[in-house]
Amino acid sequence: MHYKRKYLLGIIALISFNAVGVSWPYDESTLLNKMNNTYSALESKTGACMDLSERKLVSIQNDWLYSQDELKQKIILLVVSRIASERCVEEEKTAYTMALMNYTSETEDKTYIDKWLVLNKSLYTQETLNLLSDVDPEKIISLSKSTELSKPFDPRTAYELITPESK
Amino acid sequence: MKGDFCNIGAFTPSSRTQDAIKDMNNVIDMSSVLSAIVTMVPLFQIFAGKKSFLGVATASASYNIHTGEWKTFADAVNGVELVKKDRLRFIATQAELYSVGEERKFWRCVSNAL
Repeated sequence: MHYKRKYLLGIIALISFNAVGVSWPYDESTLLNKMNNTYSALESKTGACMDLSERKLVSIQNDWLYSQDELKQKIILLVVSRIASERCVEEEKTAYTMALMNYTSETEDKTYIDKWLVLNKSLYTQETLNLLSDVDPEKIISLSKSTELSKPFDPRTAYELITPESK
Repeated sequence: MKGDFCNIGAFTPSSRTQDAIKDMNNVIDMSSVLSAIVTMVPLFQIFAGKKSFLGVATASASYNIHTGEWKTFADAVNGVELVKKDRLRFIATQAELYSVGEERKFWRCVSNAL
């Protein structure tokens, strides 16, 4: 008796769901739509963050950065700029990744997630990783939180600012 | 397109440049993006990343690439998704930071055109 009532309630819930025009959240096309919409939002935010990275930098005050050799300064600024760019799109990227996971789990279509994995590789070369091997990550994180470098920026502009002769 | 560093002279692509191009091709198939313009600027075949194309690119390296040709490149990559373009720009910037001379200017032009 109890089982029948639950079954009946389930059917009523499903009918109500369709009656108000809401699609089943695990339906393939709903999941695909959600994934496409979150990707569009990520595209749009990425564009805004790329535009922001063209901003003019005024000054960089960081004794630790200035104490590094030239190549290390360049690469540290590259890493910090990457952190700032990732931070800028974090919300949209998380939303897309969640939508992508939901779509992949339900459909077992791995086409999109495979592409996403490739696109999310860090892309730092071995040369960069070797160069940074003796650098304290905390110093990099701290620099990435400084007022001037917490938002997206062009690492080349930053490098030219701290070493004007490199232009 | 940013910057005015886009008249570059001859250079032979280093292994670092070849690796960066390989990374770019993992993000997007550069040969299809640039297929319409490689006949105009043979050196852009360098982006195909295949050994045979790199051979052509090296042989063609006596040609300069002028600002106008970079504009053609910029137009060709204009339709690339921004998420991918951002990754390509990162690869180009990283390659530029390690390069010197004409090769450095080459990567700066790529980065500015993206």
